[in-house]
This record gives sequence, C-alpha cells and structure tokens, in this order.
Amino acid sequence: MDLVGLSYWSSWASLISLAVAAWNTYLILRIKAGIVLNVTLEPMLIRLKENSAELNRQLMYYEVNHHRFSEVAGICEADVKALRRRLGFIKSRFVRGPLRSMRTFRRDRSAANAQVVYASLLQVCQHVANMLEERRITG
Amino acid sequence: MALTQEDFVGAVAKLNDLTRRQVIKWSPCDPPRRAVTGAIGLALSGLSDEVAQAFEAFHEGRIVRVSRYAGQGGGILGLKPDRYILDVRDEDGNAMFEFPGVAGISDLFQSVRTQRLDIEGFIKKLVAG
Repeated sequence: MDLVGLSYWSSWASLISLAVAAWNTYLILRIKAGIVLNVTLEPMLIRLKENSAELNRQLMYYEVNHHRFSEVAGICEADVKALRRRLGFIKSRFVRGPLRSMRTFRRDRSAANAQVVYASLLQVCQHVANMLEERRITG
Repeated sequence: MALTQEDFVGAVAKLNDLTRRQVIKWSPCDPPRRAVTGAIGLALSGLSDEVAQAFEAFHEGRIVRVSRYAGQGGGILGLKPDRYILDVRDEDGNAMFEFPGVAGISDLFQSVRTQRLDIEGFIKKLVAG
C-alpha cells in the first residue's frame, strides 16, 4: 500500500473512531441519567405525596393558609421541573399540564386555581407511581 | 368511552374539593366487610391487627364510603403502611364498586376527618363565647 492509500484509510479510521467515541459518550450519559432517575424516583414520589398532603391541609382553610400553600406549591414546582429534566422531553409530557396550572396559580392565587394545582399534582403522583411500578417489574 | 386512571384521580380530587367546601357531609359508618374464604382465610382473619375506620356520604344518589385500615405492626417486616379504600356501597354495606388505589384517597380521608372535627364551628363558638 502506498502512502496516499494509507493516509486515505487512516482518515476514515479516525472519522469512525470519532463516531464510536461520540456514541460511547451518548451511552455513558444515558446510563448515568438512568441511574440518577432510578435512584431519585422513589424519594421524589415520597416528597410529592407529602407535599400534596400538605397542600390538601392548606386548602381546607385556604383564605388563612394561602401563604403556606404558595410556599409548598413552589417546592412542588421545583420538584416537578426536576422530574421533567430527568425524564427528558418525550417521557415528561405529563408534567406540562401541572406546570401550566402552577404558572396560572402564580398569576392568580385564587382558591379555584389552588385546587387545580392540587388536582394536577395528584396526577403527577399517580404517573410517577405507575412508572416506579413498571421499573420494578422490568428492572 | 372507557374510564382511565386519570379519570379516577380527577374524581377523587373532586370528591376532596366537595368535602372541603362542605358540599358533601360525611358521617361515621362500618368499614367494608373483607371477604374471608376458606379455613386459612378464617384463621388469618382472627390474627389481623388492622384497625379500621370508615366514613360515608350520600352524593349523586350513591353512598360513597372511604375507609382506612391502620396496620399496627408488621412483624419481621416492620410497620405496615395504612391502607385507604374508596368504594360505593349498597344499602346492606356491601361494596358494589371499589375505586382503584389511586393517588389522593389518603388526602380525602384526612379531609373527611378534618370536616368531622368542625374546626370552623369550634373557632366561631370560641370567638362568639
């Protein structure tokens, strides 16, 4: 093989190795994200359930408890946003509605909007509980 | 159209909202009878350490009942978590339809207990008296 031929093949080899390195990086990042999700999903569900119970308590006498409700709703929003980031764009479609309701609540802190926030958080809890159940089965 | 899990979660949240707004009034009742089948089931039912508490309400022509089974101890596995059941019962106390175990039933039970406490009436009496 002459030098021109050798340089031709080595160029292709370097391009292929670059593609393999990029693919490996993608796989490592995906596995890392999967591990983070597996480890944090259950504590996240517990936290969301505790916070939804707290929101329910504050809703009972909302007129006097609306400050505390807003605080807990803010914590819930941060948790739901973290969930969206960890699940990725496609799998986290179910959090769009709850996040929209939280934005609406920030603009207008009425009891009706607070009730929508609570109800949408229950939907998130149910989705996460289902995901956790599926992960327990499939591993 | 078939009911989805979202529909059940939404229904529980709505019941909870109606409870908080005092549209639905709950009263204590007997917890649902658990089905005991066979000799082993009969023997195990005697060993059950669950304490049950239930409330019922009449809404939209149906009797809705929410119950809590509080586990006292779980032996070698530790404490048993509380179980919450929401069902629609007939006049004889038999569960005709049991809701799936969706999120929010425990919150509904807490709202019912708070409604039974009548904190608002208590505060108003204190202020007036």
